[in-house]
Amino acid sequence: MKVSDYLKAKFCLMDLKAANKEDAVKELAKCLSSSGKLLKEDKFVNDVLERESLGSTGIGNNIGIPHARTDAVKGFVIAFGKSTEGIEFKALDGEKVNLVFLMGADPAELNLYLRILAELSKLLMNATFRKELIAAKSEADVITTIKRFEKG
Amino acid sequence: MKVIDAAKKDIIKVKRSLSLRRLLEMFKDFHAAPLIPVVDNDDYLIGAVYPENLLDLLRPLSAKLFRNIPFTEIDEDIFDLDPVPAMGELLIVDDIMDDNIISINAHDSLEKAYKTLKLNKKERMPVVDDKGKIVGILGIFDIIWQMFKEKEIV
Repeated sequence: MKVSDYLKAKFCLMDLKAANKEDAVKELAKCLSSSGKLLKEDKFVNDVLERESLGSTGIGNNIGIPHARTDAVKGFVIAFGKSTEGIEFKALDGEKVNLVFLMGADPAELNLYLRILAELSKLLMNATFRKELIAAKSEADVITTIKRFEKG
Repeated sequence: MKVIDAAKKDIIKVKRSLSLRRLLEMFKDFHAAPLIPVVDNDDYLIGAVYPENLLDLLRPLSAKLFRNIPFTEIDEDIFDLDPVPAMGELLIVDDIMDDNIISINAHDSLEKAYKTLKLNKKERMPVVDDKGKIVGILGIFDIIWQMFKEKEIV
């Protein structure tokens, strides 16, 4: 099970407009609405922000992985967004976030959700991977980069 | 004999904002992996973390899918996986807790409690008052101990 099994080019935003966490989550959630898996977009956004209020998913290295287990999602969704300016994210290291992965899963998909979170965290530990994601020019580049690093 | 008579009342409980790293540190001090109840600010029970929830962080998805199918041999080597340090802060109790939990009312009978544990294949479960606030934890051994006590063996 890999991140690239679920993240598709149409759910990648190469130029996030949002300057703060709330707007970034909204922007990415909107992008996911065409997946047909967001049963209630507003509730999904609220649930992700509520989860963020318990502890920031800005884990450092300019990465944010906002996520929620919620019945507003059917199955599992993931979107990616990149911000050149950086997003105010209340990250653990206090830095702005440039790479955002938004994830949602219905409560029954706990295991899948945790596995993808683990896979994604592992990929993002690699500085070269982060650099290449930042440099990616297109949605297809993002997917290609992820697949290449997943192969190790 | 009521549940409340046998339940352990001095228990450790956590809030859903606690990080995985802190949670694991708490588990470390138990000599057997415990059930840790998750409560809100007013002590209402909202979930629980079982040792299985932590194992699921290491276990391949396929293992879970095949777990209940008899005669299926699967490779379930948790050492093949390597969660990264960032997960200690990225994940919090809210991400991994079971919110569909079995609990028992403090005023229920020990017989009912025993059947509930057996039926749900659990070793222990949270005990709540009439409002749903946590008041203790009851395990199989607490029931056994109470029975010995009733017979004046202890």
